[in-house]
Amino acid sequence: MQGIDPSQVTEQSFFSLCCELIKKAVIGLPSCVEDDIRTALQKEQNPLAREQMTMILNNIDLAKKESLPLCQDTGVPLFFISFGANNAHLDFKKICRDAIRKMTKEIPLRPNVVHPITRKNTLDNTGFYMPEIYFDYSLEKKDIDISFLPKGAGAENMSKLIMLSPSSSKKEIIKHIVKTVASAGGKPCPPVYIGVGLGGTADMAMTLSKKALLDTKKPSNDTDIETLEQESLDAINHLGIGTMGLGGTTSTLGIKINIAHCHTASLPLGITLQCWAHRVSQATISAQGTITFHGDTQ
Amino acid sequence: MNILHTPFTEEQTRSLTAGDIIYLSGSIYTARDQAHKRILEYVQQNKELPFSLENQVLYHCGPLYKEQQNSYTIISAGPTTSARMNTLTPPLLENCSLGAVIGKGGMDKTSHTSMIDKGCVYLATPGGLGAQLAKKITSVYNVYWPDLGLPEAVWHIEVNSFGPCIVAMDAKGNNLFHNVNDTVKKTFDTMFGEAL
Repeated sequence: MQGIDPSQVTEQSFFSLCCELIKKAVIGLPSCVEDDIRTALQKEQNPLAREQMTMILNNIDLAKKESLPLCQDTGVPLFFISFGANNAHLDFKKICRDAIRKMTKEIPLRPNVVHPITRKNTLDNTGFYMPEIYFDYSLEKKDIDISFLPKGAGAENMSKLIMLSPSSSKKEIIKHIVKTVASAGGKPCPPVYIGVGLGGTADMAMTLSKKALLDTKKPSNDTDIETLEQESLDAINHLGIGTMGLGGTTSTLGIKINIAHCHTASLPLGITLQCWAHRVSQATISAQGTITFHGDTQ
Repeated sequence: MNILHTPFTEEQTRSLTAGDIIYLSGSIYTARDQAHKRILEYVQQNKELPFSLENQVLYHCGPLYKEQQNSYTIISAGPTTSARMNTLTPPLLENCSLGAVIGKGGMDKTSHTSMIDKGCVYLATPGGLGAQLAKKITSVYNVYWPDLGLPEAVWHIEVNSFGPCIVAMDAKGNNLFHNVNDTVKKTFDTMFGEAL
């Protein structure tokens, strides 16, 4: 490509980074997630919820101390990679696959990936579109942003796509978000995080909702979106689902809504649920190969 | 700490009340979706199961394990979502009496009715407590049906002070999940003017 020098990031250094991100994600939680749980515990009125949240925090500490996967469901592997032309020399798909295979053996990860019809386990967490990589390419970008999200089934199974009528009110949008969480009850391991995608096409709404889980602490800078987020959050916490669906003050730890423009005759609404154990690891690797991890507890 | 030893007697399980918190010691069996399906296939075909679940405790769990020279160490073993076994549990209980089912998220009314009939309780243990619960697993006796993929296999394991296990659905008819769900439904109706 004219005028764009390849970065100094090598396949080996990117592979090592992927391996480290996989391990970080399944053993620890981002510090903001732990903080969210501690804050929820402080506010919690229900004794059973308090007891469970205390045990959850103890488990997080134990997993960190002994480098153990905090939850046995190490999920299906999802990567989010933003990069530019200077990193087009990297075979991202191959590197991510190899990293998943290695870490499945090493940590280990639970072999979760099966054929959708035969249910035959591939034993190494790879398969058709597994790992899945969500790419974001912009020519001028110099560094690589990478997120790894091991997505467990409990919360994922409660995700929803609703093709709303374009004349739906804001209250109806909120209603559907609240209904999705209310119907799920204790199944997604509440208190949950909620990613919402509004607009686009059906698949875009779901993808936006998945990506929203990476941004739960990012302000929206849009009063319409912030209102939808806050009203949904308040309504869900008012329901009383509580920790593990056994009642309590907090049923959601956070919600993020991402939007895309859409057809004048459509309003897709995608909702992805995430359990309290919001495992995600994120890093940036510069063109010179310097790595910065984001959201660490250390 | 209220520690109960497995296998339970019906008298013990019927005496438990929703809201009690217990810990278990003794042997338990894991089973998830595929294992339930296969157990029911065996029953339908009059085939003998390689293990007996009579009066045993069933744990809805697919453990995460390390394999070393044909032996397994379980390193993370929290519960899976029991609701996926809703349609599989009543027929299972028709064919054997379980003392307890351990899982997360609860089970439906039909499953609870079958459990009450057999004196079986549902014990909820917090989801995601994988590392902590694995520490309470002291040995792996056997892994049945590894061809299902080890997360879906039946693991026969020994546990020591395993818990906390919250009696969420007792054999008297009390159901903490349904109580919460009823409140959630009423609150939703009040907020949005329609049934959940």
